[in-house]
Amino acid sequence: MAIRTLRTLVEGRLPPDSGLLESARLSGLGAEVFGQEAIVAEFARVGRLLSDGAEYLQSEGGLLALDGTRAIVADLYFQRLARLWWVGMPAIAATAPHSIAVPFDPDLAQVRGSVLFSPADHPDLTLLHAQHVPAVVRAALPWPTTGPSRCLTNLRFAVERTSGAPFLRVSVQRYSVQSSNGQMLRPAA
Amino acid sequence: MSPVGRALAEQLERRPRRQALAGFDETYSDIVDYVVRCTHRIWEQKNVGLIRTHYSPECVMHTLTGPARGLDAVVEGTIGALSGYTDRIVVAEDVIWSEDAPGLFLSSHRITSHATHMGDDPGVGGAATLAAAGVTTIADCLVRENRIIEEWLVRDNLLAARQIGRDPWELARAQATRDSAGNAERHRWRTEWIERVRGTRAPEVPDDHPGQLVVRAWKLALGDDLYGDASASYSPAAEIRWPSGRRGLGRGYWIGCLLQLRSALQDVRWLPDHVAARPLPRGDIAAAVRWSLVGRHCSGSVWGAPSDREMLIMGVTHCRLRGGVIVEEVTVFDELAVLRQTVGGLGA
Repeated sequence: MAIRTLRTLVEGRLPPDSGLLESARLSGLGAEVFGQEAIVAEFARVGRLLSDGAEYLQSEGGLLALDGTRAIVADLYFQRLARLWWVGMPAIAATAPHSIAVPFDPDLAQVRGSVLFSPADHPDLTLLHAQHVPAVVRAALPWPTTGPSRCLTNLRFAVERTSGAPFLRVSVQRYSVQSSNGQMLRPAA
Repeated sequence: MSPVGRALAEQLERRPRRQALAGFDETYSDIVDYVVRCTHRIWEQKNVGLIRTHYSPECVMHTLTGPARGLDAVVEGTIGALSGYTDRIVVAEDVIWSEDAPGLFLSSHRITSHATHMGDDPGVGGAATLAAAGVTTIADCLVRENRIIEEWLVRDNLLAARQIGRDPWELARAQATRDSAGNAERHRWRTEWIERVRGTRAPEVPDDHPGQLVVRAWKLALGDDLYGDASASYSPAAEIRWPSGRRGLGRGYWIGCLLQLRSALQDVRWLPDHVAARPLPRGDIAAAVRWSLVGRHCSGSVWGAPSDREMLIMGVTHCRLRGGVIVEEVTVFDELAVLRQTVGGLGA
């Protein structure tokens, strides 16, 4: 059901049978939209994001659609889409221009190495799977930082090794800070 | 049953009673159903008059702009809000509850709303703009026998103001000017609240209560300034949502939010007022902590030049716990009311 729901969504249509929860969120490149209508509108606005050849992988709690350098990651509850992330996609139109920027230390045992990952968060993850995390992160990092980046840009990435195997999510954080004169400051590559 | 992961139609399906609810309408199957369904009936179906059977005559609704007392105040406030945003949809994100005594429930209801600013709003909104708005609200309700006795309401009003094009500082100054007129006694609640926070011992939270993880982290941070130790309760990938559009990932971001708040205030006192926790689908746990924070506004900060005033903040923090750490935090407080205090509003 979840895969069919996501396919309908990718076509810019409202999935039937509440397959997309009313409380769902769609995040990508630091922006976010909330709610069924806004998410469907966003998918409709950007046009078809995935080709017919996209690969869909599903576990009990998650769904991943992969199509070359693009991916859609979803959290599932009872086969329904509760949360969606775009990876390698166009920027979400609903930017976050109203946010208060928060200065923060991106190096609190997190981002130096550009990885926000703790095996403890993924108790089902075997060591073998964990070894793949850095490669996944390296693959995710080169995606362009477009769209709103007033304070924070982030993306998440997830893989599933094979059907039925543990589901793995990796969070990757990139950041930029707006200085007091409005100049955007980014860390050196 | 938690609303997390459940479609609205499923949440509103009629079910037989499945929890002892002495004195409640037969309509309601359990306390979560009571909270979600009566909110739907009052706000979405616009049966505002149900407030008269769902709030007690002596009810008090606490916000950071002052208490509203009695049924008429709640009815009038709801009608005013609906008239400005007539298409308001209130989506239940979670209801985290506890039964604090037999038949006495405390529910912490997190809502994210959608609405269009279609009508004039005497409060934050002003003249209609037709702008889309949607913010997160958490309503903590103390309920007995089908009636809300006391409510603590926090709403992301600064974000709401910005969404409809209002300048929060301009709004806060206008509100503060109005506050300075008339009988100052009407603001006495704020000084009494501050005195309570300064003079009350923190309630004991059992070590095995899931909410203890949240309380300990916040106390370590705002009580002892041990931010790094406090953040160990959070996953390195924790998702953090704070008022006014603050969104980020990780312990560093959480500390950044707290430091932004703490840097504005000195001589701070953080007090947890209520703690609850419930299981979520897929083995997670939801914890809710309502808290009060007082401190002297001594430093220039995101809240402007120091006013040297004693400040009060009421907030509610909802956390998702997994494997003994916090993986998601949603904190809501009314930052517009904070600005209002910094510019001299809400009394002495």
